[in-house]
Amino acid sequence: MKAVLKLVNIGQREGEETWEFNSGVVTEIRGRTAAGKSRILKSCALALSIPIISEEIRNTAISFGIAKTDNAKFSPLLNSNKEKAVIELSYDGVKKSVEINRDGSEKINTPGNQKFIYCSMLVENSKIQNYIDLGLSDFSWIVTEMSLAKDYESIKDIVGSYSDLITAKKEEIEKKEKNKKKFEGELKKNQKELKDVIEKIRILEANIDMELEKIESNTELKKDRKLIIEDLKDKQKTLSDTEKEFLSLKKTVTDLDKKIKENKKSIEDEIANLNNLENRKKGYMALDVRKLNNEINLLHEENAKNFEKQKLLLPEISILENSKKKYETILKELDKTKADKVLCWVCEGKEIERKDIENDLKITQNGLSPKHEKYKEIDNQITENKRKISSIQKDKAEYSKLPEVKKEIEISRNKLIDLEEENRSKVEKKNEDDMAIKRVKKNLENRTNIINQLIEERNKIEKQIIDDTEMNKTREETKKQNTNKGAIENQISNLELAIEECKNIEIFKKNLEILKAKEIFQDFQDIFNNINSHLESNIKKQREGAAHKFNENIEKIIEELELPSFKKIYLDLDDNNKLKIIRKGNPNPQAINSLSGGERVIISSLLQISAKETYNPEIPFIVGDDIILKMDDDRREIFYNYLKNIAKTNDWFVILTRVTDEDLVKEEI
Amino acid sequence: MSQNKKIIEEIVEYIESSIQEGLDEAIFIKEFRNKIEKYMSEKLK
Repeated sequence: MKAVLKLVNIGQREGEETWEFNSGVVTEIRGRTAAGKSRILKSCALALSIPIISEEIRNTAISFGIAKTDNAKFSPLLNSNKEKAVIELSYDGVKKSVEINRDGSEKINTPGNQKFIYCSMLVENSKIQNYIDLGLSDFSWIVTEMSLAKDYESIKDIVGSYSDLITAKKEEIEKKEKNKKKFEGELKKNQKELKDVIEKIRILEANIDMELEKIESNTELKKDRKLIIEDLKDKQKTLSDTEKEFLSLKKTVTDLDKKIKENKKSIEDEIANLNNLENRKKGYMALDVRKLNNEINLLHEENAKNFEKQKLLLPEISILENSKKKYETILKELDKTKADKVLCWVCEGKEIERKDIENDLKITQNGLSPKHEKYKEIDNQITENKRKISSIQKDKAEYSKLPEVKKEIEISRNKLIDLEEENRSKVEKKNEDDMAIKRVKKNLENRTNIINQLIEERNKIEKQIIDDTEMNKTREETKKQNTNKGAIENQISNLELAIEECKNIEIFKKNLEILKAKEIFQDFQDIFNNINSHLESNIKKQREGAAHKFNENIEKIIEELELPSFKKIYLDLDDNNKLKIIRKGNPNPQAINSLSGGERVIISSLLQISAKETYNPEIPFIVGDDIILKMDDDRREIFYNYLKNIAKTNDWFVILTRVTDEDLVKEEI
Repeated sequence: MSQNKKIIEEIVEYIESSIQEGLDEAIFIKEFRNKIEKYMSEKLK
């Protein structure tokens, strides 16, 4: 393979120049310092990497003198005397060209790959070289910045979203199929229900036709019944009024009876009172006042005589009592003195013996007693006479009451007349009421009979009336069944729509028949699974590729280069792609800054080549600017041999520069 | 099955070329959708 590099106004060189390179070999561009070696490499790098989008890579490209800074008006590769520069690189049917203008604009015909800057430019201040120079071991950034893992992941997300869409659609299909089955079951059930309901309605409507005929006769009967009921109501009201009248009359009669009885008692009492008054009057009339006065006078005269008798008796009694007192006093004196004799109080110097005194006392007492009795007897007679006088005077006083009694008799008689009159009137009233009661009772019986007749008539009609509750039930049931029918029909219609809806599925605004869609979705799910596997594999490869490749290469190179001091150099996949260096005789990893300058160049170059093989294999170019400067002759030869081998194996263009004392020269080595 | 294999190959090829040329997600999404729709239409024939 041949590559042709055409440069116009690049660097210090004005005008056009052409460089040709062969693949499969290492081409060395040699010359003195500032002879224009680097601009050839830089032009290649620019054509193969532009446009450089990543800010970090652009910064690296600026530091390499490939890209212009933000402040610079034009590319550092443009000849300072020219307005425009051109870089054209052709190889294997690929033609990349970049036009650089002084106004800062750049034109690119075919885009390159910006990762070329990191992977394929072996320069002293490459990022990998810088890391190693600084003793930094973390190379995870290679994966982040150079791998295509991100791109593959983005595509995986996009494919995943389609895969998810297909899965969702498949789930939707499953749901629709399930629903369709369910809806069809429900539809079948509803259709059966509808059939049953229609049959029910047919039977009910037939019944209604029959019942309609009955309704007409029922209407007439109901009219009659209504009239009877109304009549019955009137009659019952009248009966109720009559009953009230009857009860009122009965009460009046009872009250009258009671009053008549009371009157009779009053009359009887009054008669008794009148009789008593008459008797009293009779008694008073029988009294003879003159005779009574005579009797009183006689009694007064008799008492006057009695008083005279008592007056005559009193001196005798007094003398006898004085004697008796004298004898008793003497006897007391004798008792006191215990003497038997006492001087005579009548005959001076004469003594009287005790026994004589006692005898005289006895005689005196005997004489006194009949006198006392006589006096008392007269006294009793007087008292009796006084009583008789008082009694006669009382009788006389009673007689004075005669006019009053006569008046009372008059009153009593009048009262009796009134009472008898009242009683007669009440009895008459009672008799009238009794008659009225009989009349009302008769009336009551008549009305009751009429009512009973009406009730009987009503019952008879009611028996004739057909019970329309059943008819109403039939109508209600028909109505209910019709509503039910409507609901079922509605449900059927909805189910049919739902089933129809379940038959298709929409994707990309197209309606697919569900079975066909299922088949297609299954195919696409398989397709996406396959693509996903490819993407996952590439993501893994991209993530781990550089480290694997590096580890493989470095092991091989260590063997080939016969680097005596290294046992193993590798990127530790388990430790965030850290660079681990194991020297012979020491199993522990060594610090990176323990590497010599030559070792650093070799290791960083090998790491870059590994990254290129993984991340930038489609561009068959490796350019190296003075990388062998720090290597000793042995290592340089070994490294050159390694590069030759790579160039040959991969059919790559490997272009290196080297400072010599010569004029600018190109040579395949 | 062979049709699926062909589709897979075409898509993989398309993915790889998109990545190698520098992935533009917006264009990729649009084109990818068109491809899927095209394949789907073919399958419906």
